[in-house]
Parts: sequence; C-alpha cells; structure tokens
Amino acid sequence: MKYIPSKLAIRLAVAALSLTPAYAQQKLTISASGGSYDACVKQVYSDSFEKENGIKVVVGSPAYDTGVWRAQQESGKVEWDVATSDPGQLQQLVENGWVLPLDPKLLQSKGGLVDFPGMVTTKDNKVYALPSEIFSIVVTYNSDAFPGEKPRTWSDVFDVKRFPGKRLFSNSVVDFGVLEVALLADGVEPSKLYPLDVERALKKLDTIKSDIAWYDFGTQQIALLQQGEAVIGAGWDGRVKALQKEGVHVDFSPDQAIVKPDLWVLPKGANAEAGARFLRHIHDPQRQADFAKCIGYAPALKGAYSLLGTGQKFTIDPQDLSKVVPWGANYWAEHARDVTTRFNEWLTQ
Amino acid sequence: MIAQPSSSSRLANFVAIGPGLLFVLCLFIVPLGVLALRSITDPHLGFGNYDTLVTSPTYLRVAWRTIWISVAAAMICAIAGTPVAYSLAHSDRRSRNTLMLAVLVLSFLTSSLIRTFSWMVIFGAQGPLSRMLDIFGWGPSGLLGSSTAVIVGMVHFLLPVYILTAFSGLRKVPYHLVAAAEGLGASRIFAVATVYLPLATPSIVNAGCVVFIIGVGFFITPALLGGPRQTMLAQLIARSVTQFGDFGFAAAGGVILLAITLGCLWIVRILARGGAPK
Repeated sequence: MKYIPSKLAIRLAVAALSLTPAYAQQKLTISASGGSYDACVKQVYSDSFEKENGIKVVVGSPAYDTGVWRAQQESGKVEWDVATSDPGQLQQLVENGWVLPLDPKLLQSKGGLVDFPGMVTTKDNKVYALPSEIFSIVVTYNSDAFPGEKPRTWSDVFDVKRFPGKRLFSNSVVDFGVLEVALLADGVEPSKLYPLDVERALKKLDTIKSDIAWYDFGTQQIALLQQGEAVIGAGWDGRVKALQKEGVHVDFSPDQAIVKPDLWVLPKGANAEAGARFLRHIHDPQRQADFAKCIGYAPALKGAYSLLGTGQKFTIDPQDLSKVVPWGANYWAEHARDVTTRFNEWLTQ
Repeated sequence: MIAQPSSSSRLANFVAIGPGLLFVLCLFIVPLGVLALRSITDPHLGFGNYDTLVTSPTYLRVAWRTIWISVAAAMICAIAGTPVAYSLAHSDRRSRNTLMLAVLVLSFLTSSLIRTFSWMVIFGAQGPLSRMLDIFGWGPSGLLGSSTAVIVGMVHFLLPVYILTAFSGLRKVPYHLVAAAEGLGASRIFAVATVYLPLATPSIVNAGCVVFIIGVGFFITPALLGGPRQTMLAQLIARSVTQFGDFGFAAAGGVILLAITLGCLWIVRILARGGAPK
C-alpha cells in the first residue's frame, strides 16, 4: 500500500476547499413571503434572473418578521441580499437604518408606476423600496353561501341579517385594514378615513364581534374559507384568486378595496450590487404581467396592464383609481403602536 | 452512621456532574441572564417594559387566562392520565403494556402542528363534531375559537407527557402495600385511596407540574384552535417581536411568564406538602 503523508493530504484538502468559491457561481439570497408567493417568484423572476446573470438565486426565510430583521442587523449576519416588505414594516426598517436607498432612476423607468398616495415611501428625498405589485383587501365571500344577492360593500359585510354567517378578519390591525373596513362600513368617506377614529371603528366592530372568526396567519385565511368556517369578510384578492383556481367557490367584490403595494428592499450589509440587479430584473412590464397572472395581485408598473391579455381582471384599474382606498402609510407610521395596544385590549376582552 | 465521602470520591462526583453543570450554565443560566438584562436595558435602562406590562389590562387579562387554561389542561391530564399510568406501572401483562407505551410514544412523536390542524377540521363549522352536535340541536356553529377547543388540543399534546412522567414515578410506589391492606380486610378501592394515593401524590403532582409548565408556554394550539378570547401570553410575546422587533418588551414578558410559572409551582408544592403524610 502506498503511504500518503498526512500533511500532504491536509494541504490538498485545503487547496480544494479554497478553490471551490472561485469556480462556484455567485449567489443571491432573496426573501419572499412564503407559500404561493415564493412559487411565483421562482417561476417568473428568479429562474430567468439565474439564466440571464449567471447568479444562483436561493430563497431564504420570509422577511415579514421584524424580529428577524433586527436580529440579523444587530448580529451583523445579514442573510438576505434582497427582501420583500410592506409599507407598514418599511417605516421601521428605514427609521432603524436597516435598508439601503435605491437608485432613483429605477422607479421612473419602464413607463412609471401606478400612482396613488402611499405607493412610494420617501425619507429625506430618498426612496427605500421598489413596489412590485398591488395588494388589495377586498370584500370576500363564499359564493355558495349567498346564491341570491351578492355582498358588494363593507357595510354588507357588517350586515348579519342579509348575509348571515361567520365573518373573517385578520387580528393584525396595522396591516390588514380591520379598522378602515369598519369605518367605511359605518359610512365614513374614503377621503376622510385618516386619521382613523379608532373608538368609532371598535364600536362598529362590536356590532358583529361574536360573529367574527379571527385569523393569525394568511394560511389560516385560506383554511377558514375553504372549510366554510367563515363565509364573508376581509380577504386578499390574490389569495381568493388562488382558491378560485383550485375550484373553491369563493369570490370578491372590488368595491372600496383597500390597496397598498408589496415592496422589495435592499438590506444593509448584504450583496447590494447583486440585489439591485435583481430589482432591475423584476422592474419590467412583461415580467410583472406574468407575475400578476401567477399570483393574482395587480402589477405596479402601468406598462404591464396592456400586456395582461384578455380575461385577466384585477382589482386595480390604473386609469381610474377613484374607486379604491389607499392604505394610510403615513398615519400608520405614527400610530402603529398605540392603535395596536388599544386594539389588542379590545380584542382579548 | 453516614460514611463521609473521601476527597477522591468528591472529586469523582464533581467530574461526573461537571459536564451537566456546564451544559445548564451555558445553555440555560447565561441566556436567561442575558434575557433578563435585555428586559431592563432595551430600549432604555429601567423598568419601563415591566411598567407597561403590569399596567396593561390586555396583559393582565391574558396572563390570568394563560394560568387557568394551563391549570385546566393539567387537571384533565391528571384525571385522565393517572389511571393509565397506574395500570402501566403495576400490571404484569407485558405485551399489553408495550402496546400502550408504543401508542403513547407514537402520539407524542406526531408533529403538534399536524395534530392541531386535525382538530381544526374536527372542530370546524363543517366538521363531524359540529354535525353531530347539530343532531342534538346544539347548532352548527362549531367549537373552533372556544376555550374547549384549546383545552382539548392542549390535553391531546400533554397527555402522553403526563402519563410517561407519572408512570416512571408510580413504578417506584410499593404496590404490595395495597395487597397487604387487602389482606387486612380493606376493599381494593379503599386500599388504593388510603394507602396507594398518598404515596403516589408526589409523582402525580410532579407530572402535573411538568404539563402545566409546558402548557403555560403554548403558542400554536391557542393560535389555531382559539380565538382572541383564548389568546395566551406566548402569543402576545411573539407578536411584539414579529410586528415591532421589541426585544426588550418581549424579554420582560418572558421573565414574567417564568415568574408566574415558578409562583404557581411554589403554591403547588406547599399544597402538596400539606396533603402528604407527615
């Protein structure tokens, strides 16, 4: 048997290890929101990005948890090169300096964004997030439960006589429009919605409190609708469309939809160059149109709407935004904590 | 006379418990200290987090609820689990015991998320239980979002833990004393109640405390099976982290949860000592 000196073996091993990164592809870790969202990101955005740039895309943990953001930033071990966010969370990320400003030219390119208040968040004239699609909180219902008259507005959701059954609401008060919906149902004009009259909203919610099935997670929303646990309430247009594709008898009404953008951000301390390249990649009318078809949320780029093809209807009509209600990013930036405290007090009572 | 341990055996003892001590110190005491420190330094130095917690009606309500739901679950475990542990501990039928242990361990090893989702289906408005209740005229509303649903889900998770813990204690109770009592003319029930139970109380209380401690920290079961009125402390703590990244506030919540648990255990110990034979 041939004798190999152990030192040589170690040197060979070290050499092999140190060579690997040089030959390995560059890697980009992205964080999406989990579930069907991740599947569409892969199908539309990341597979084509890999092919065009030769950078391998890895999907990391979801970024909606602000605690994970803080832990990553404080420990200096930033996992994501590019991450999803939403306007409520973005305020905290910007204030803490956990995200990098974007190239302002990026947002003005490719035909421009659908324009409503809260679409672009700026601080000191810098833009920190790229909107990619528009998420709507809509009147959602089980079509089998109401064979005759269909619910259309938020006041229908609060009308237990005409539309009996359990109501579906998220217990996350900041992000999913529970109070906004109650005030709209109570007859508040959309233009006068903010600042929210929290006590009035809770009073309105009191009228149906025993009929509400609250959910903690987005997946629960699907489960509760699917099992017929709740028959009407505030749902997300994309989730409803995903259920329709599966043959579940659910539908929604776009009237008084509360809209806000889904965002992408560049976490501080990561590979910002590759991350910015990914943002340029998704900021494309054709890709956004494909993504919208996959996920069911409306594109953020105006130019994407003409590429959607026939039979694709979205909650947003970029030509006429008078029917939708923009979610109040500025209001929530200031009041998220106190309103959450008050709401939880009411909720757990 | 008690033999004094020699210095070499003392050293051997120390070597033997050293790794365990180090493990507990590094992975439990130090993190707990860091957590406690964080609760009074983040975001500001002082007891602001505790002040917010104890003056918040939400947290007080939820803390009280966490205790009573966990106590209820532990009591049900004790009532339903003690006979099973008793029979496992003192029966000679080996194959039956093995089968029972296998069922318990299998149930314990099934993911708690899967078990909770199964209960969601069973308790749902369209679920089998709701339809059965409907036959008796109790309405088709379903039990999802009720304390009953949460406690049933918790007991399902905790019962195997209770039985296995109680079983190992009950095995050491001298069962021949029951036979001796019967030999002196006591009925089986009387013998078990007056001779066996007092000796078994420490094991039952111990197992009850173990499931209570686990119950107090429950998160996923109340989130999925309960409604807002079944919210437990762990959920509020988790929400303050995921929504606002409030580490200091969450740490204070954790310290209070620990204090509540220790306080309850202390009360139970006093009560158990009072009940046990002197």
